[in-house]
Amino acid sequence: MKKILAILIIAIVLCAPVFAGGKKEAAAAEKDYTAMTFDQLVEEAKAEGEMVFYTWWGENHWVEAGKEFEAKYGIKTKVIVGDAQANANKVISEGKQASGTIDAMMIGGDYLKPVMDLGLFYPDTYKVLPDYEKLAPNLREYVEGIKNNGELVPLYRNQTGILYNPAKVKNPPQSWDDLVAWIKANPKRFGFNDPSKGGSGQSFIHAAIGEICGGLDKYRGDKELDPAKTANWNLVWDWMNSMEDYWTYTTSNNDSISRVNSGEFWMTIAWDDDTQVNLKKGSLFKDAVLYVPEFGLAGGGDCAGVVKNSENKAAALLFLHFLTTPEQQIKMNERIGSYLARTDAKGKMMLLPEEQRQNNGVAWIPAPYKVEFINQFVKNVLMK
Amino acid sequence: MNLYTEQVLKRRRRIIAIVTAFFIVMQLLWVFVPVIFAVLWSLVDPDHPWSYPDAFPKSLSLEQWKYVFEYTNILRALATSYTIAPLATLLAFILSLPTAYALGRKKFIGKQIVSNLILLPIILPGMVVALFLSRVFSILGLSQKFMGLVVGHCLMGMPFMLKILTTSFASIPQDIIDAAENLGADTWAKIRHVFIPMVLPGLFAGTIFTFITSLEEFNLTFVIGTPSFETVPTILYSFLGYHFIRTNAAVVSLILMVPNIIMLLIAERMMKTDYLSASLGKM
Repeated sequence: MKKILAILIIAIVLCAPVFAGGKKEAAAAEKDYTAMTFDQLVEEAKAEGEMVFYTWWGENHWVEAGKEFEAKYGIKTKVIVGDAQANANKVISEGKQASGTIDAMMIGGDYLKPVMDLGLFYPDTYKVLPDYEKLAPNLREYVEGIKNNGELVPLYRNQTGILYNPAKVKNPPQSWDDLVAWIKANPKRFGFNDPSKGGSGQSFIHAAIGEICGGLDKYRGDKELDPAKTANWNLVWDWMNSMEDYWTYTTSNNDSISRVNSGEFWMTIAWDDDTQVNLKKGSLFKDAVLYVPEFGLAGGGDCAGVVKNSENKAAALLFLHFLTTPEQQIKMNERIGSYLARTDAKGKMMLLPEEQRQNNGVAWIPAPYKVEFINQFVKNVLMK
Repeated sequence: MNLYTEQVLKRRRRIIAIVTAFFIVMQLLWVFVPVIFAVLWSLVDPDHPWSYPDAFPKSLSLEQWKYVFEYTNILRALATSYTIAPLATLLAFILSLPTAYALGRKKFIGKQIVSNLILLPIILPGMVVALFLSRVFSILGLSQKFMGLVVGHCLMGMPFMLKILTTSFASIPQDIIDAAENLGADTWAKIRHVFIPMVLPGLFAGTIFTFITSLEEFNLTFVIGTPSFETVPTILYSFLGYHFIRTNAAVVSLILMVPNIIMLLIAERMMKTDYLSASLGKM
């Protein structure tokens, strides 16, 4: 026993330096990147020599982009594909430290508010990136109702729609009433995910609130939740409870798509990029159709920011610039199906016609309302 | 034995055989069907989707496996996970042993409170514990350090080790200890012949729980370990969580299954009946 213990202790001591990681102790002195030319920024980034990017999906694109960035600039790039909420928690937990371990991160609208409120992103990103003005204007101003302030770089746009099996659905519904009638005529052939587990379910509830509670315009522009405007949401929950026998709740965006593929559902709500990924992976039949109905479904996109206490800000800024170059945007569209954030370039993977996206896509209501309807749905529908 | 009794016995044997066969078949289905489906999903050819009404994929390929190995650090993560888990388990055992003995065999004021406080790390939500601990680890210089992860995993697994060992110590009948003393056993003899055999099943159960807790620990590892260290759960979250895609999830599950099967076989060997009989004083 003693021998085993001794061997193990020696092993721990020997292994520790092998596995030991860690960042530089002190944060780099704050530099004025806005005063630098692009070439100076590149030199500064090269001098930093490394950067870490956190994201939560689409690993094939971000990892490949990381490799290509490293090959082009010689800057060692590490991509961590974690969990959207855990990424936000980590950056918040490191917020008060002189230097954090995340240099740049992608952040979804659901987790943006606390991070922006704490001022954890480098504020002058828009002044440093040369092509910032060429990125999606809607995401440059607000991300799900949260003011961007130019701190966040739009990386892609995406859109929810109705995904259906054309062999089973001959006349896909365009109006809300048609959709409800179809769901009632085909019990348990429609489903959407728990909104706390993904945006496609949120999009359906978003549409229901708009249809049942008098439109979505009244919520626009609010920075905080106005309880008076949510007072009649009980109508939505009552209606949803009455529809329980006609539809099924799924556990994630992709679970809904899987159930269309397995024949259980004939129709669901799905993201365009998730649909594209499933088509590419062989987990969705090739003739599945996605469209945005005339009554409108939510769409938006995701952004990335440079973390304020990063030691490698120049490298992080350069990486975000690299991700938004036309070449990388087109590659992203091919690899993960997300639509380009860049407005002066076009992708080849067009699951949804641009006209449909423009005419029927609806912007999300501000995040405080979104958080509220997710909580209320869980409490008043799922837990009932 | 008359003819009637013989017929009854025969019928009974047949019923038992049918019931046994039924349960064996059900067990096999229960265990193997998900594994078979995982294997099939992991081999789906991206160009030929596996969709309803096909019972099996039309075409098989290794593309899904190539994808996971190409875009994740799964092998390195496996090595890190299976290095941390035994060390964290050993550390948890060393730290738990004296506390468990005191809680199981001694009487002192506040024993119940200590007993309940021990469970805090598993009662509180994982991310809450991780965020609180991350600050402490940062101050102690343990963030982004291998030893920090061993200590962190040990803390998360210790409640299981401690609770089970405490119960094991508490359940040793005082009569046996008294008998050993009456027969002239010194402290070392009591440890060897009474305590160790009697707590061994508990120690084994605690080890399994702590080991598995370490293998599955995500929150603390993510906050204090990444980006320097990635363990299997930090990679799994992107495949099995928010963006669950069957093909990728099947590959990752199967990769995880291999070391776990090896571990179960080792556990099976260790779980010899003499340990159990030893715990009942029949060795």
